[in-house]
Amino acid sequence: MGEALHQVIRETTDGRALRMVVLAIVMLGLVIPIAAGFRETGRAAFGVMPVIGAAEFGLAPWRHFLDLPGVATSLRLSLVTGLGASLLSLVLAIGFCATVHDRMDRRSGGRMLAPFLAAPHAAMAIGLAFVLAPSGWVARLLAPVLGLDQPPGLAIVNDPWGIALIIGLTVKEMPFLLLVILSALTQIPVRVHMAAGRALGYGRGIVWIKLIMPQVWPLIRLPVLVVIAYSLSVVDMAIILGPSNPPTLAVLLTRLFSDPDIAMILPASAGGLVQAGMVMLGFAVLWGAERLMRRIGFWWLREGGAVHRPSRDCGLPR
Amino acid sequence: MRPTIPAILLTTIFALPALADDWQDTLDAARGQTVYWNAWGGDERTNAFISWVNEELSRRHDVSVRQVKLTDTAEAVTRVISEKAAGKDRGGSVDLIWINGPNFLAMKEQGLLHGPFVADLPNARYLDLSPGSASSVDFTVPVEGMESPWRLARFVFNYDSARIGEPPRTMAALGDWAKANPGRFTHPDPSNFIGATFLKQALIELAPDKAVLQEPASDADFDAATAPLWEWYDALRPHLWRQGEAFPENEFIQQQMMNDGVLDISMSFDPASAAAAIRQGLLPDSTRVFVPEGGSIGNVSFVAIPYNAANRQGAEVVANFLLAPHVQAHMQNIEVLGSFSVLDPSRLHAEAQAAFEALPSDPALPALEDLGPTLLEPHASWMDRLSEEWARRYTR
Repeated sequence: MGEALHQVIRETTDGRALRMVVLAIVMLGLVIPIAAGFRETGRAAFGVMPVIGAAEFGLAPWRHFLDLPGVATSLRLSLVTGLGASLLSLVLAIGFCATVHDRMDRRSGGRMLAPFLAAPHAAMAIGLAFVLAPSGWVARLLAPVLGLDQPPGLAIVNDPWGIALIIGLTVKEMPFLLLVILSALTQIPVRVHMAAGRALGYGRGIVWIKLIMPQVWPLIRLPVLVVIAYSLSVVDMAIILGPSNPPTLAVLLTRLFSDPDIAMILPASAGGLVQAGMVMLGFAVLWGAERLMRRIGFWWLREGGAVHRPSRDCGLPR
Repeated sequence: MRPTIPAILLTTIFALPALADDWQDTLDAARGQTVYWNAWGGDERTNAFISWVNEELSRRHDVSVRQVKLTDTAEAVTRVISEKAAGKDRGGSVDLIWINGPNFLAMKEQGLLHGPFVADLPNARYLDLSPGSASSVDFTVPVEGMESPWRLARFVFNYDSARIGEPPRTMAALGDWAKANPGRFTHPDPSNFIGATFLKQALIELAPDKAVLQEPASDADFDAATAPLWEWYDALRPHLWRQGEAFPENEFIQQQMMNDGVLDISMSFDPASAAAAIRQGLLPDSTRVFVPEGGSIGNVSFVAIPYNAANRQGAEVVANFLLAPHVQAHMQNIEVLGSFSVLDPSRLHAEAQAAFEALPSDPALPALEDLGPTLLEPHASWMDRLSEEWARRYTR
């Protein structure tokens, strides 16, 4: 009896000790360094960085940042490429899952996606540029046919609209979301719901949108947030594929932080806060879209849309 | 009163052993240290040279050298600033930095450097350190012993002689050439060192009064000195690659573009880079080097030691080793680096001079006399202002 009690006590204290250790690691390894960095960046953004002789608290770094040539274009480019690539990846991943899910099991899917997930972003971007660039493989294959002896002067990669960057990000993020959705699907009785939906006369795609996705969404919301945060702040892919004059905000900030004029750290810090704010804005956009979709979704479900139009699949006479 | 010969002999006898003793102390303290040399890592051959330095110094003095590969020297500057901000005034993580120009100015002004130490290096006797010499002034900023020279850089253009007959040798001719060959020329983004250097090269050639470039840039001087530059650039820009709307991020992307046949002319801060790239298969065999008629910007690359370096003595041993005549001859070998020596030839003994003369040549490697006069770097403030003004004008 005493022995068993001792055992129980030890286990609970062990458990508590383990929890404390985990908490301490998270605090020391993640929260404190980030908080410290955030604090110093915040101070620098308001002009306080004693090491480089800046001590005057004020809005000067913000004014300097906002006066940088092309900063508005940089902000717009970041938003368009980041949110555009996230949306495109999500739509493609859902569409892909909806069409091939029952023909693919998770394990073979994972095997197929592994190389996409394992390749570093920069490597993928360089590979894409190799293929697409005016001097790339596609152009080299076509050159003898078209009689080109010089690469055509087309802005395919580094285009001023950021299309190459959106494509590059999508190539990398779509497989990630696909894997996440595939593993989320294992936690949902897809087959049962599909059968029930089909029995009610819904087409395959409608069942996916109306029954399966609303259950998958809460499981993949966090990975989608990760994709948004990454796409809005990526540096390496944006240097390789994105526009250069001006570049996206993240690249602009990287250039400022490595400017030989060390006073540029101050406006760069202000820009860093803007970058963080932009990611928050991206999250807010997603939250808003989620609210909107919920309303539309309920309304659509109640309307029942497809039931009135018996589809050919369910075998009823037309 | 002229010093008498015995007096000179006497001072030499007393001075030399003292210096040797100090240096022996440095060598003893350096034994077993690992020097973290923060050096731009974009050039394979330089990286290989630094590992050779590691092998040699490990063998000779038991000092190891590890290269911390940077994409931009400012990364090391930022790290030292962060360490100072965190109160880490000893045991810093950066022991030696490959540095010059604006980064040196920034560190010197902020008191982030150890020194003066150059005069204490035994091999400094091979340098011309007289005031105004290339090794004692860095972008017009007096070095004052706070950084030690190690290699010579010259701004050059590379061109493909199979595609261009006679390359344009003045900025005006370059403008005409670009007009006749639209889309075949560009420069790296001016936020990059080489891109900014291209603008400086054009500025030196086009500025009405070149003397003001050696002074810190004032508003009035800047506007007057740069007006012809912008006029020239406005005419050139529509004929650049992508109509001057996009620019390669750095000179390596530009070199790749030249190898891919996108461009006919590229640029570099190393006269040996074309010969080296040909050997690595990164440029066509027909690539040759040219410099503008009036000469080109040249400067010396230095190594500096941060004030809080953990392995200061080891770093001094490395700086001294880099100045040894046999090391400079090894560096100047086109099969190794091909960068010209910083030593004063008149101070070398016959044996060392012979080592330099015996070096192999290469058709893509210009001789020092083909490079024309070396133009002085403008004061560092010009570079910052040029990049800023360029961005203000052409970034939308």
